[in-house]
Amino acid sequence: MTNLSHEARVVVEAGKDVFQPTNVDRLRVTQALAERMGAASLGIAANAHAASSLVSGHSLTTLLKIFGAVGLAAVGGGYYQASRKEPALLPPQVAVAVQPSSAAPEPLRAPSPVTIPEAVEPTASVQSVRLEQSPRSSRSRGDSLREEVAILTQAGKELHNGKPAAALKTLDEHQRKFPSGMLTQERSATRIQALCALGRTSEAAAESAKLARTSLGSPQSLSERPCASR
Amino acid sequence: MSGLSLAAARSTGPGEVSSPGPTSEVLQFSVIYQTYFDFVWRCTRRLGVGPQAIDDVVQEIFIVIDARLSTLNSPTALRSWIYGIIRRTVLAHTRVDRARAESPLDATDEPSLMPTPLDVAEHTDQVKLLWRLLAELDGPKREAFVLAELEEMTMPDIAQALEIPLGTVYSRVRAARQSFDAAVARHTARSRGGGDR
Repeated sequence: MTNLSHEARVVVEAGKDVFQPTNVDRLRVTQALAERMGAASLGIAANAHAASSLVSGHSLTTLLKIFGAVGLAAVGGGYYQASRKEPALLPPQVAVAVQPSSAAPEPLRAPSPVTIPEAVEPTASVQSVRLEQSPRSSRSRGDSLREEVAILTQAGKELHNGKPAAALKTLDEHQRKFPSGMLTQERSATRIQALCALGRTSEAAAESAKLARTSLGSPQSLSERPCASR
Repeated sequence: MSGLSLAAARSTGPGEVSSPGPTSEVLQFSVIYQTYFDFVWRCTRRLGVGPQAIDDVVQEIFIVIDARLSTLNSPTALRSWIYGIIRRTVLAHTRVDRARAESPLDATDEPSLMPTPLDVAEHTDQVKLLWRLLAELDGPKREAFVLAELEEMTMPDIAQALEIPLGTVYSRVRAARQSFDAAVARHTARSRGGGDR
C-alpha cells in the first residue's frame, strides 16, 4: 500500500480536527433532537455523561451549565453527575439510582436555587451536581439559552458569509444582553475570528489572551498569535 | 429505547466506544449519541453538507440510527455501520438539494462556521489547501481517502462502510494517495517558484 509523502502527511494531519462540532453546535442539535425524540432518549435527563462526554477541552464548565439548563428546560429538574474521566458508558439507570436518601423524591415540585459548579477540579473523577429549579425559572433559563444560541449562530453565519463586521455587531448584541451568559467563551472565540478577518490583529490578540485566561486548556499559541497564517 | 450488545460494538476506532464492561451491558442510543456525535457531524460536513443544512441532516441521521438500532444484530464495527447511515442520509439530502448534488464537496465551502480557536490559530492555510486538494479527487477516491487518512478507519471497516469489496478499497485508497501526493508536490513546487498562493 502506498504511503503518503511527508509533505502530504502534514497537510492531512492539519485537517484531522477540522469540522469538529463546537459546543454551540452540540447544544443546538441536542436541543432540537430532545424536542423530537425526548430528552431521555439522548440521556440528558438521567445520564450525567451526556454532559461530560460531549464536552471538549476548555468549555467543560460552560457545558456543564449548558446541559444543566437544557436538562432543566426539558424535564424540569433532576440529578446530574459530572465526570471528566469516566467513559460515557454507564447506562442511564446508574445515574438515576444516585438519589440522596434525605431528599424528597419530587424534584419537579421543589423549587430551590440552582446549584451549578463554577469550576470543576481536573482531578475529580466523579462529581455529583444537584440541580433543582422550579418549572417557571427553568423555562426562563432555557429561553435565555436558546436566545444566546440563536445570536451566536447568527454571528457565526455572518462570519462564514464573509461579513465579519456584521458578526461583531451581533456579538456586541450578545454581550449587551448576556454579559455573564453561559456562552461567553464561544462569543470570545467568534470575536477573535471576526477581528482576525478584519485585520484587527492586536484586538484579536487581546481578546485571545482574555479567553486563554478564562478558559481551561486553551492553547497557549492562541494568545500569542491568534491570527497566524491569515 | 433501542440497544445492542456493547461487546459486539467494541471494535471501533480511537476515541470511540472502548471502555470495558460486562458482556450483558446494553449499548443504549444515548450512549451512541454521546460517543458518536462528533464523528457523525464531522463525516456529514466532509461529505459536503453545508452549515445551513448540517443541523437537520445530523438530526435525521440520529433518528435513523435510533430506528435501526434494534436491527443491528452483531456489528463487527459500529462506526462502519453508522457511517453507512450517514452516507445514505447525506445522499438522500443531496438528491433533494440538486444544486449540491452535482458537486457534493464544494471547495469554497470552508470549515469556518464556528471553528475552534485552535483552528484559527494554526491550521487555516493548511486546511484550505487540504480542502482544495480533496476537491480535485473524484468522489469515490475522495471518500475512501478521507476515511482512511482523516478518520483512520481500517480497510475492512471502509469496505463495510461503503459496501464495496476489500480489494476495491485498497485500489481506491492507493490511487487517491498517489493523486494527493502528486497534487501536494505540484503545490509545493508552485509555492517555491513564487507561483500560486
